[in-house]
Amino acid sequence: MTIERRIQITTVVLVLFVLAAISTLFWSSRQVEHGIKRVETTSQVVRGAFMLKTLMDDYLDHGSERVLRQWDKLNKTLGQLLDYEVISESIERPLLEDLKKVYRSVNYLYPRVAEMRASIDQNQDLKTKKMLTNLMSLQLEQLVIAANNLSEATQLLTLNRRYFVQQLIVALGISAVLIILINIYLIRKSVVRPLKLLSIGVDRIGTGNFDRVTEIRSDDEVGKLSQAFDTMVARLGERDTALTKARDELELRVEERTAELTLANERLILEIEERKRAEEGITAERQRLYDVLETLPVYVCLLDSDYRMPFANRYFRETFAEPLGRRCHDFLFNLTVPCEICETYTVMKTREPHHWYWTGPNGRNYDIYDFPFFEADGSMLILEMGIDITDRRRAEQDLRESEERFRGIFEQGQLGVEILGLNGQFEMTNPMFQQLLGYSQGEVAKLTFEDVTHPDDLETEYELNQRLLREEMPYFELDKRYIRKDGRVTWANLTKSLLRDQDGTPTSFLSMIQDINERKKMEELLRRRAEELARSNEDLQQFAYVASHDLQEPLRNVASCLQLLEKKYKNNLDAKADQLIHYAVESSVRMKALIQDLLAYSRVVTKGSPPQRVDCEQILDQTVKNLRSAISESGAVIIHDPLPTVLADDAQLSQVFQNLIGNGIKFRREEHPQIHVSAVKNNKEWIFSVKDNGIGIESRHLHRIFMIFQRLHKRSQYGGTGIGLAIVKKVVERHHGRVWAESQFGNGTTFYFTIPEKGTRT
Amino acid sequence: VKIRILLAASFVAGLVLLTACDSPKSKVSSDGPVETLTLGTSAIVLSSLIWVAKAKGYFVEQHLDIDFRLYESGHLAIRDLLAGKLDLATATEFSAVRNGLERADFRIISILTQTQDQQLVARKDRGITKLSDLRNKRVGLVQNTSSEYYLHLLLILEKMKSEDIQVVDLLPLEQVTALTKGDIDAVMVWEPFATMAKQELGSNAVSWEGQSGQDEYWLLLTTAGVIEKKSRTLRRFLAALTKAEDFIKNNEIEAIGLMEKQLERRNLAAVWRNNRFGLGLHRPLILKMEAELEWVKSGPGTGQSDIPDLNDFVYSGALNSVEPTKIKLLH
Repeated sequence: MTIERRIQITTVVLVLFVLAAISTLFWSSRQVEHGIKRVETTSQVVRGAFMLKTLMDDYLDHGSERVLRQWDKLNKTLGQLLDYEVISESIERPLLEDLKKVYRSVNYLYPRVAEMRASIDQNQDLKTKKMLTNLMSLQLEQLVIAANNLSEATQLLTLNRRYFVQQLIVALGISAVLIILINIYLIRKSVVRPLKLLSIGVDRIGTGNFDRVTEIRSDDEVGKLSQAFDTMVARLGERDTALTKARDELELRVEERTAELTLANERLILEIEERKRAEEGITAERQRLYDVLETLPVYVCLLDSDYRMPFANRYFRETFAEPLGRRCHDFLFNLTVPCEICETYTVMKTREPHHWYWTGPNGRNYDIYDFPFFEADGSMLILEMGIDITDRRRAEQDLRESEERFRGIFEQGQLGVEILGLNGQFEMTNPMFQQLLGYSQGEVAKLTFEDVTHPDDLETEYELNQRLLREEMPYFELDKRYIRKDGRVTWANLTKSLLRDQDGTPTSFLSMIQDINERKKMEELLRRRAEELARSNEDLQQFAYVASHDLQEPLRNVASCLQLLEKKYKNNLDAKADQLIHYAVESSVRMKALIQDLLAYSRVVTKGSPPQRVDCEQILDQTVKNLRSAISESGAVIIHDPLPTVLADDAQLSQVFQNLIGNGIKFRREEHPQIHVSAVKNNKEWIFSVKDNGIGIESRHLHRIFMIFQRLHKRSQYGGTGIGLAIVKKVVERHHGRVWAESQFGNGTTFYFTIPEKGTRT
Repeated sequence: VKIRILLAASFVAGLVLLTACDSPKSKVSSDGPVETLTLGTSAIVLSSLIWVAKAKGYFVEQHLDIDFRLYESGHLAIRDLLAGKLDLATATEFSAVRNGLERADFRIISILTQTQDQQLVARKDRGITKLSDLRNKRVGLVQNTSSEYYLHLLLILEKMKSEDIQVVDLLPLEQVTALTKGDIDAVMVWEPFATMAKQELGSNAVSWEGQSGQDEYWLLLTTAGVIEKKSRTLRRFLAALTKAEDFIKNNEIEAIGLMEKQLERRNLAAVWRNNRFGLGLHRPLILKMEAELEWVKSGPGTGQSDIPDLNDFVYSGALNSVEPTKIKLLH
């Protein structure tokens, strides 16, 4: 069959298929459309049934005539829908019949229910009414269910048809794809594949192969084309064979000549490569030698007979200058003629190596070696090598000077020095050490350190020596007792360390000894005096306490007797006697107050508690409560900033606040007292301040306000004994703090006191 | 090679599309060991779903071994169900209202059949041509059954009172005999006795549909205890009934033949159309049972009391797992 015929047949099949597909889809869509219309109608029926039920419920509840009219109208509409042609075509006929039956039952029941509802006021039997109402509700519910069943069945039918249409579209699509693929396959088989074979045949001819034919054996248009092509190829093959033979002969000749040329060329290349390798070896060796000379930390140079320098290594160039073809005296010493004495050129005369020392133009010292050096042409040069020995010489000089200084210190110093072997034997001592112990140098050399150490100090020194050897410390100090040659004991301060060799291994002990006999005597004296002072202070405290405590009893008796005397004999004696008795009573009362204050003052030390962490804000609050009657009476205002927590005796700290705030209230002006308490941190202590707006203190009195029983005013102006600020000072000092005041007379006073941040032992 | 790949890809794509268009349907697994159930039911058309499922082997397919026990009346089956002798029972909703609701563990699983087979059959020669002619007549029925309830409703609709007629308590067959003899003037009776009465009277018979348009429901019943122990078995039982329902819907003639064979009766086709066979649970059932319960409680010798919520006696779990679309309780 020809290709043209095939295309005609395929086209007809495709057209027929498309027509069939369009017809089927049209029919199916009509079915679905019809189903959707039925679904809409049945949905209306469901809505109608439901509304009938709702209206009837409303009517039964309220008995409205309007509702009943609506019910009638809707009922008729529903009846028309049930007779509608679309529904009657439903394949779910039993459901439709069921719905119609329920509808008829409802309409049978309706007039009776309406009549019953209308007669509701006529005392009709309640049971009867209830039964009718229930029956109506049930019928309408059945109507809704029946309508819903029909609607669902119709929806299901429509959905099934739509599903069928979907499947049909998919099947048609797949069929169309298959037909197209089959067509493609047939076109490929009958047209594309033969054309590809022809193309391959043409390519093969292009490469000169005329042996094979295209092997297409069809009877269509492409088959005929293939046969003609094969005939053409056969003729071309014959002509190609003749041409190939002539070309082969020519190529044979060319190959022979080419082989000869290739052999000669290879030999030449080998020779060139060998030479190149030899030159590279020489160059590398020369470079290595040059690098050695350049790297040497000494200078190396060559000098010719004309004082020029054909070679100088990097060290020379960097140390002196680049020769640049100039003569040595020119670029080294800036001379136009050679040096008067030039030891280098001795070699030119002697032709022997020469060694000498030279100080260069840079001021450094060199150890010079000159050698005769002969060029390949026999001419003579001088090879000179210079080693910089400046640092070495300087170190040697420093060492000599250091040795001299050390020897001076050792021999003439005010400290005793000893070098002790690890076995305890004295290896070296200086005159001061020998003088301290009363031995000569020869005698000391025979002793060990145990021989001259007091037995009570030996154990300590042994242990410290061991710790030194274990490298637990670099050195140690020890106040120890030596035993002199004459048997007396002498105190000395010993500082001992280790001497080590180059590897760090200990070789001996080095000790410095200082005579401390005088210092020891002074320390003993100071210790004795401190003990006496403490004892005296304690006695004084005890005295104050005992005096104030024990004096209270007789004083109480004296005061009582005087008061009794005043009471009993007042106005019985003359006026002078009455006045004297009155003075005596007043004095006894004041003395009692003084003694009680003195007792309180002494108790700051004797009855104090150990310090503990106290919140100053709590202490201040307690203090304000204690002073509440005075505050209330005076109208005082107490304010405070945030206060810290400190380590202190809480009762005594409260006493400090109470005394200072109490003073602020007591020494007030006419206006209400205002007292401000604050605290700031300064390094490792808290500085508290209590500021008032009182009468103030004249600056000339500030130095004595903290003294015991010191008063600045008459007792008639301000009461009290003058103990308050003295107790404040005592408490603050017990806490290792300071107290002071700043004041402007007539314009308030600020008291400051400090408490250490972390506290100390009181 | 490219063409082959294209063909294969097209074929696979087609399969995928066809598969995607398919809609899955929920099924109850029938795997597992054989489980037993004791069922009390009656040899009547109303139990057609059960008898067809038995005849077609649907219970066996579901790995169920059913012990069938036959009862003359639904209330007897309910009595044994509540006594723990049965796992399942069948009865009318009226019987369930009258005998089952006293027990809190009584449960309704599903409707099996909806029917309107009760009829009022009367003798023309007693001057009865319309319902209002029943005044002062003797009407036979089985008392304490739905017949009594339906007759009461008919009287109300005809504006009569219970005292306007004389009720004679007779069993169904006794009613047919008494009516034929003329001892009574009419009967309110269900099939097949209604048809028997009409056949006996011949042209002298006149009849009316007796249920005033209401359906009567044939129910599948159980107890909460059985549900707790055998919920999976109940699901399988309902799955078998679903297959029977499909069979009856698609093969009605064959189903009637099966039932005639099963019940050893003929001419079932005449009464077959009065019934609609199918599982379900819906609002009308609850409404009707409430109406019946109110009627029962308002009767003589019964104290009026509150009507319980009958939804509490409905167990929809089994039906929901088999045919959820058949539950229409939320209306």
